[in-house]
Amino acid sequence: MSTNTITTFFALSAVAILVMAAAASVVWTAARYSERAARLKGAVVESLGASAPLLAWVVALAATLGSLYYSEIADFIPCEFCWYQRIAMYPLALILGIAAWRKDRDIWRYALPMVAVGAGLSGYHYLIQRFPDLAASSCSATAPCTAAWVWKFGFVSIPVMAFACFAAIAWLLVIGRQYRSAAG
Amino acid sequence: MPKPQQTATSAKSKTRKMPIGLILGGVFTVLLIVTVFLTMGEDAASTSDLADEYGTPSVEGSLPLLADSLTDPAIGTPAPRVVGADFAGTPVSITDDGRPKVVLMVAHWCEFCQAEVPWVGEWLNDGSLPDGVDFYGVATSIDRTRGNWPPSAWLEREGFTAPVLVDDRINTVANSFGLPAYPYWVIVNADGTIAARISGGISAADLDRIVASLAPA
Repeated sequence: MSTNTITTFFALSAVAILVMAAAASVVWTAARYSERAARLKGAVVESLGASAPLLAWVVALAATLGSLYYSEIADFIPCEFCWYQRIAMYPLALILGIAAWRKDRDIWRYALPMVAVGAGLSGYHYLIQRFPDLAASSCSATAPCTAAWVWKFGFVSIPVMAFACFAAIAWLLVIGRQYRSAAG
Repeated sequence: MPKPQQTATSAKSKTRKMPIGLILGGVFTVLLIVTVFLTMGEDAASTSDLADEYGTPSVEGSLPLLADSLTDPAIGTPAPRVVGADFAGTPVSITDDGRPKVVLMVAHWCEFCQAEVPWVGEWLNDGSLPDGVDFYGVATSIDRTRGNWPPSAWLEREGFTAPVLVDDRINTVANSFGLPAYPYWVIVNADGTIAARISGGISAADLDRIVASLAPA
C-alpha cells in the first residue's frame, strides 16, 4: 500500500472527524436551548459514554502510529512543530490506555490540558503552512515547518490530521466525563 | 401488585441508545471505500509515469554554510565549479569563465521558491538581465514525495527560461555553495569569486541593483 493511499485514508478520516466534532459542537450548544438537541446530546452520551475512554485511547494510538509511519517508513522529516505535537500526543497513547483499563474517572483532568496544548500547536503549525510569511522568509534546508509534506483536498495537511485527532480525543473525554456524571 | 412510580430519573434514562459500533464501523467502511476509489490507478501512475528527476553534477570546491550575508567569510573566495546538465540532459556548467553570474537555487516544494520563480522568470523574459551577465537556476532538494512535483514541469509552467542545472539526490551542488535555506542567491564576480550570498527571497529592485553592479562597464 503506497504512502499516497494511506495519506488519502488519513485525510478522509481527519475530515470525517472534523465534521463530527463540528456537529457535536452545534448539538452541545443547541442543547441549552432546544429539547430536541438535548435529547440528541443525551443519546450520544448514553451510546458513546461507556466506551469513550477506550475510543480516545484508540485515536491517540492511531495518531501516534500514523506519525511514526510518516517519519520512519515514508521518510518525512519531522520539523520542530511536528515534534512539539508529538510531545503532546505520544504520552496520551499511554495514559489514555491505562486510564481506560483502570476505568479512571479523572483522566480528563490530566489529558484535556495536553489535548488543548496539542490542538493549539497543530493550529499554529497549520497557520504557518498556509501563511509561511508569518514564520519565516525562506525554507530551511533541513526541515522547515512552513513546508507541507501532505496537502490533500486543498486543505488537509499533517497538522490538520493531528488537530482532528486532538479534537476527537477532547470530545471523547468530555462525553466520557458527562456519562460518568450522569451515571453517578 | 402496585405499579412502580415512574421517576424523573427513570424517564430521563429512557434516552434512546444509538448503535455506535455500527455507526463507527459504517463510517470506517465508507472511508475505506472512498480511499480505494480515489486512489485507484493513481499509485501505478505515480511510480511508473514520472521518472526521478535527479542530475549527476560534478563539483569542485566548496563554501562554508552561509550564516550571515553581511559578514560572509566566503566573499572574495573562489566559487565552486559545477559541471552538470538540465532536465533535458543539455550540458549546463557554472565555472570560472570570466563572466559574472547570478545563481538562483530553488526547491520545488518550497513556498518561497514558488513565489520567487514567477517574478524572476518574468524579469528575465523582460530582458532585464544586462549583456555580459549570466543567470543560472539550480533545481535542488528534488523530492517526489513533496509538493509541486515534478520540478521540470513547475519551472516550465512558470516560464523560467534561464539554464537550469539539476542537482543530485544528496544536493551536492547546494551543499557546495553553502546553502542554508531556499531560495538561495549566489552572486559571482567575473573573476570567479563570490560577490554575495543571500538566503531567502529578494525583490526585483534588489536584483536590478545586483546585476547593475556586475555588468561590465
